[in-house]
Amino acid sequence: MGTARYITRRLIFAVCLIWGVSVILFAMINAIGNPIEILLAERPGITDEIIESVTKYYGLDGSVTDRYFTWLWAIVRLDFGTSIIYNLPVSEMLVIYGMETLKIQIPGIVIALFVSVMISVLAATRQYSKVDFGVIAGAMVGHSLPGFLLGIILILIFSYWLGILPSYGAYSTRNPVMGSEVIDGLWHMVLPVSMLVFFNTATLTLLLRSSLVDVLRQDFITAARASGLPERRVVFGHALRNAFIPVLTYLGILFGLMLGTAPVTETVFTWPGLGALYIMAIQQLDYPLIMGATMIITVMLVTATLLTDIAYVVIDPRIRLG
Amino acid sequence: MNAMIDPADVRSASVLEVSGLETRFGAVRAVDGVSFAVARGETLCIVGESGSGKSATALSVMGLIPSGSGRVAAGSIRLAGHGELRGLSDAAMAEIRGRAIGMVFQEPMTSLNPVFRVGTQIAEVMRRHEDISRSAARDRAVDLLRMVGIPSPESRAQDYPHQLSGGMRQRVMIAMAIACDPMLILADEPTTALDVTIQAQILALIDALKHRLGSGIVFITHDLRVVAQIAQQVCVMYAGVVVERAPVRALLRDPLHPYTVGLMASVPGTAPRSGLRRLPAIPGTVPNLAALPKGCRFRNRCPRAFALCAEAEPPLAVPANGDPEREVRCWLYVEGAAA
Repeated sequence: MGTARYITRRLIFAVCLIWGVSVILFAMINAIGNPIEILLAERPGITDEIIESVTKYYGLDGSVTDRYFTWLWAIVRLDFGTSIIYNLPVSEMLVIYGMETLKIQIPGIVIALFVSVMISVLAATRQYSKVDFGVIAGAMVGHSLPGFLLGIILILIFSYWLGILPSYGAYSTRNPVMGSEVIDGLWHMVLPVSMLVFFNTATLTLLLRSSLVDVLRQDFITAARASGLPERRVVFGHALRNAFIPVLTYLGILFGLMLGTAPVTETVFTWPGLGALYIMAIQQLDYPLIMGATMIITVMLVTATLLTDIAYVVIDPRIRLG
Repeated sequence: MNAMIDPADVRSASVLEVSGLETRFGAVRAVDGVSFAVARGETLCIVGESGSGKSATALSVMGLIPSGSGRVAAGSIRLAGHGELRGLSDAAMAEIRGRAIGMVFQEPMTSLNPVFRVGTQIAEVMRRHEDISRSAARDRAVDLLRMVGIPSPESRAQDYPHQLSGGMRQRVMIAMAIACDPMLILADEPTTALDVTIQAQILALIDALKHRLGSGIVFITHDLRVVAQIAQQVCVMYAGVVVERAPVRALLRDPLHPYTVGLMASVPGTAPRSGLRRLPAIPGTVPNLAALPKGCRFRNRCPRAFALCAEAEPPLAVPANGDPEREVRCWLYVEGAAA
């Protein structure tokens, strides 16, 4: 019963948070000024009358509160308006570009999770060995490397020197790899996903290894060994689940910020994802697109946080009474 | 002893026989030639202060000395029906741990996995060692919880460790230790972290289980009052060696080794009352095991040390003109040695 109430409370909190962001976002965009003026001013043949009538046409002449609630009611119905630059419905664009982003970000996190679990177990069960120090050093370097640098190095090696992997885009414009569009898509994913896996693995390994080292020293691990459980079961069954508790927060942030951190990867690999789209929208002051993308990123982050909170309840029974 | 005779035949009642056990952590001999035996249905107490090697002895028997930091360097550990344990592979030892030997730890608050239900943790031990269905294991876990005196065991089995008190958790640990009817129970200071009233209940429980299961018990403690309540045999350890071994009554009535005498004197209530007197303490501290003094390890703190003590380490031997069931490691009891 406590669990249901806990989740309900978190859910209400999440909705309030999203609403709060919508207010701040709207206030900030509003503070920039009338977009019609900014977009049309100083162009040849534009008179004040034209600006006025276009402003009226877009309903931008009403009071701030009126406009806010009109917008809020629209986004609740998932209507984010039409992109000024692309002249396409924003919601449609968010879905199309969002899918491209998820296509590299989800494998980037999931694969990194598996890899970091394996590496962390390897290192933590051999604490202070050469393997362990190697893992720590590698993870530190990977964690501190600037994001774009590795991407450029990968492109240099695999695209420029070896010429085996494509350096940009999600699809070949013609002649798909091995004549199959599926294989072609996967082939294009290799480099960006590798880069994401590398960075996510580095950070997750740093966290998970130290957490695991800490857990393996606990009395209940000695007790599990003393009851004859095989080492594999002790490490993967008893230790790992406890070691994951502090890592969960970071994992939640990773999922939540998937779209927020996408710009770097997508710029390096010219990936047609939401991150690249977001940057473009900001550069070209495409208001509906900026606002739609910001709301989507907010919802993703809040949802990820909510799922993290729920995951905590599942993984750590001590929270359930709270 | 004739090498042709199997030690198991000589003392057929022994569940566990440890002889010449030596456990090293680097250059440090935490356990330095320790020997003892436990019979079925008997409780052997190993007494000593922190750093005396009593916990390292228990972990050596379990094969749980962390391989990165230490190892059992010499000696023999024989378990009835299993023969020599030293040198067994980790997989073979894992078969014995939890099945033939159950272990109870000092810290009930941290010895249970916080993320699993206690019933599940007990059932897991049974499912590890016996061919038993999930539901049967669960039923037996409830029976075990009832056996160790936990009220309404059906619902308690569904609890997580943090929902139970320290005493209840220690009962759960005991239930886990006895889940597979082990012939030997190793209890490493199982009552140290508990309130005095709970302590007495846990001691009574362990004693009752011993009679019911007929297991041998090695009970490690630093508390002589606990020894008086539960032991039949006592080994007093100091700085990695056994300094005195005796049946409990003889030891408490007439401690021989100056260290045992000091331990007894520093327990409130064992010396004659003299109003508000200050408890005597043994001066000094346990010597650094990496740089042991020459001769007897206790001589620096011993009120009765004499010249010979600084020259040679005394053997663990039957005291001259004394009880043949006792052994003491002190020159005072070696004929012709004392000045």
